[in-house]
This record gives sequence, structure tokens and C-alpha cells, in this order.
Amino acid sequence: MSFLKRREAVQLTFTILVLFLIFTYYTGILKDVRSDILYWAPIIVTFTYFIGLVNVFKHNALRIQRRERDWQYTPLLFIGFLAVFISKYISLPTYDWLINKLLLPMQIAMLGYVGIYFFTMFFRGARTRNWAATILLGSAILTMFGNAPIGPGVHPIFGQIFMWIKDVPNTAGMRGLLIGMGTGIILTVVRKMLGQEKALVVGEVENV
Amino acid sequence: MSDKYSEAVGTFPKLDRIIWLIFFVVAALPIIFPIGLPLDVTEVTRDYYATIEDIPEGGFVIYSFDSGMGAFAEMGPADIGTITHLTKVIKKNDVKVMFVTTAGPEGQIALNVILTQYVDMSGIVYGEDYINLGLIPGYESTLAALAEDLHKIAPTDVEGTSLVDIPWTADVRGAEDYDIFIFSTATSPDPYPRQWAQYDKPILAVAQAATASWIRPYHEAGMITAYLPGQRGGAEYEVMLGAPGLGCSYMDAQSLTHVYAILLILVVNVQWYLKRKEEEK
Repeated sequence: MSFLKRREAVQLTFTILVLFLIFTYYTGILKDVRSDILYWAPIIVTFTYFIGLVNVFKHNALRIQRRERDWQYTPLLFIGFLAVFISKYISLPTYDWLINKLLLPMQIAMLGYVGIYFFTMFFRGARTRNWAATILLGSAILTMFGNAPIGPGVHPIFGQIFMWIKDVPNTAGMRGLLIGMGTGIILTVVRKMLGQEKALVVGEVENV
Repeated sequence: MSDKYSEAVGTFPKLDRIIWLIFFVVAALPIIFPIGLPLDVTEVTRDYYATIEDIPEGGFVIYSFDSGMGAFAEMGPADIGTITHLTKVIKKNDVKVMFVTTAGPEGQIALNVILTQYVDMSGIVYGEDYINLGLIPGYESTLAALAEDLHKIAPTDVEGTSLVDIPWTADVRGAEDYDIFIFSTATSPDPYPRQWAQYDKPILAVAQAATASWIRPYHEAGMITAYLPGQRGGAEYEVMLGAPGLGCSYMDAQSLTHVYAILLILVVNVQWYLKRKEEEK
């Protein structure tokens, strides 16, 4: 196995880079080198877009070739991609039409679709089966009523209750969650540097 | 295909379809016939407004526009309000604005739609008053790089003009030269304060109402100066700007749909309670 494909090489590169970035962040020494490393990110991400595009094309071409379930919809993907890509360079009015008259309303409709399912959920799933569910539903009702102008319009107390739910229990919960997430990130980086987090650092390399 | 469609729709009980139909009517009517319910402007929205008003003469604004068209109904009014306000301070105080997108290509599409269709850009000149760096992928790394060394991460704007050739960006190097950071995101707000709060400059956020609770701890810690949460934030900002628009019209719809949702929850729980009592007998 080539040295570059060995897990030790990947592990070492990762650890040196992380330690170097932490060192320059806190000391300011070799700041220019740090900027150079940060500049790699857009380059790498740009290549991942390209890889993603190739994979989408490859996967969907195979779907058509194998006549998989609902394969008839797949050509729309190619047509849509080519229409947007080509029109951007040869006909801006066509591109604008595609974005404003197709993409924009369809994406807004998708979000609206989620909202519609919320209403089914309110009707089918919102049951006060126990105390926890009752508190959850009670706070949901007060939040919905207090957030919309109609709540404080009926009585200012609804606006105050909403503000209290938002500022006290909600923020306290989120603060705890953020502290947990931050601690988790630090632990994950340390585990990666110690070679304990194999799936994220070397797992993929072993399959090369 | 039509058989499959009928089959799929047929799986939804009739009651669900009635609920959706009422929802549609309740949401659409106030947009067509506005009620004009009064709207209280919260302190955080006032702080947001004041922060933009207080940008010093010739100040430099960096605006990371990372929300897409999918969230437009939710965040569009707040973004439109923010950019409208920026155009005012551009005219009043010769403020300079630099747009950029770091999270994905959709941000640029949404930004262009807002700049060309929703904001009055008369008197605002590209290159002189504002520029757009386009999409610089990399998200958090790009946010860090924009604050550390602008010219290294973005040598040119979206039109290919070198930042060195634009007089007001030629000498700008990084966060120490920016006067204010603004970001608009439909997903996690974490990376922005994480990378920018260390520079001790005002940070403003436009977010979905659902992610506002995520922003609040950062706001309370002073890492984010102020924020506009979703449609409500956008509507409040329209009131502050004295120009009711999309956000205010959505608020009436939100009021009625929220009441409808509460009624659904109450009705279904009363029904469930009575049914349970009957079963116990």
C-alpha cells in the first residue's frame, strides 16, 4: 500500500494541520500561512461540487439505462440542469425566466408543503397523552398565539407570555444545547487527532 | 401517471383534504384582503435598526447572503428590509456594502432577485456604492478567510474586477477595516459569531423564526448585536422603515393560520378526551 494511502499519513496530516491552525489562531505567528490554508477550503469545495455533479449525472444515467422505478422523470433532471446552465451563458432573459417563474415559485411551494403537513400533524398527532406532551402543546399554543399580532392584540399578556417562553426556557435550553455541541466538537477533534474517530478520518481511505 | 397520482391522493383521508383547504383559504384571504392588525416592534428589531443607522460615514458593510429561495417567504421580508435600509444609509452616509455568498449557490440567486425586483436601487451604483463577490464556497472557512485576508480569498468581484482597482476596497484587508457584519442564513447561525465575534464589531443576523432560538444565546452573550427572526422580524422592520410590504401582509395571514392551528389542537384534544372518557365507561 502506498504511504499516502496509509491511515497514518492521513492521520498525521490532519493532526499537524489542526495543531498548526490552533497555534496560529492564538499566537498570530505565521498568520499568512494560516490564510493560505483557509484559502484551500473554497478550492476543495469547488472540486466537491464538480464531483457531486459527475456523480449525479452518472447515477441518473444508470437509472435510465437500467429502467429503474420512475426512471421517466430522470431526463427532467438533465433537461433542467442543461437549460439553466446554458441559458446563463447565452440568454440571460431565459435564465431569469427559469429562476423567477419556475425555481422561485416551486421552492416556495415546497416550504408551503411542509406547512400544510404541520396542520395534519396538529390534527392527528397533537394529543395531550401525558404531562410532558401537555406542557409542549401548551407552550406551542401560547407561542403561536403570542408570536402572531392577533395574540397581543387580544390582550398584551399573550405577548408577554410569548416573550417569557422565548427568553427564559427556550434560550436556556438552546444555551445548554450549544454548550453540548461545542464540547462535542472539541471532543471529536481530539478523538480524530488521537486516531479514535476512524470513520471520519481514515475510514474512506481504506476503501480507496 | 394519472392513475398513480389518483392512487397517491386517494390515500389521504378526506378530512385531511378539508383541513388543507381551510388552511389555504385562511392563509390566502388576509393576503388578498389585508386586515391590518397592529404590530408591536420588539426591542431587538429597534436595536437592529439603530445599528444600521449608526454605521459611520463611509463605513464598510460585509453582508454574507446565505439564504436561498426556499426560505424566501420566511426570510425575504427581513432581507428586503435590511437591504432597503442599507440603500438609505448608502445615500445618506456614503456607506459601502460588499455582498458575498459562502454557503451555496442559492444565496446568489436570492440576492439577485431581491436586488433586481424588490429593492429600489435607483441612485445606487454598482462598483461605487456596493459590490458583489459572488459565491465563494467553503462556508465557515470562507467566513474566517474573509475576516482575515479579503484580497487573498477574493481577488476579484463577481464581474471579474480586481478589488485593487475599486478605490474603496483597495485598502481593505480584513475585519479590522469592516464596520459591521451582516449575515442571512436559513440554516445554522453558529459559524458566523464563531468566526466574527472575536473582532468586536457589530454583527446583525437575519434568520428563520425556527432558528431564532439558536441565535438568542449568542445575542444574550453579546456576540450577535441584533437579529430579525423570520416573517415577524421582517414585518417589524417594515414598520420601522415606514414602508409596510410583504412582511406586514404575511402577518395577517400568520395571525389567522395560528388561530386555526390552535383551534385544531383544542378541538382534537377535546374530542380525544371525550372519546377516552366514553371508553372508560
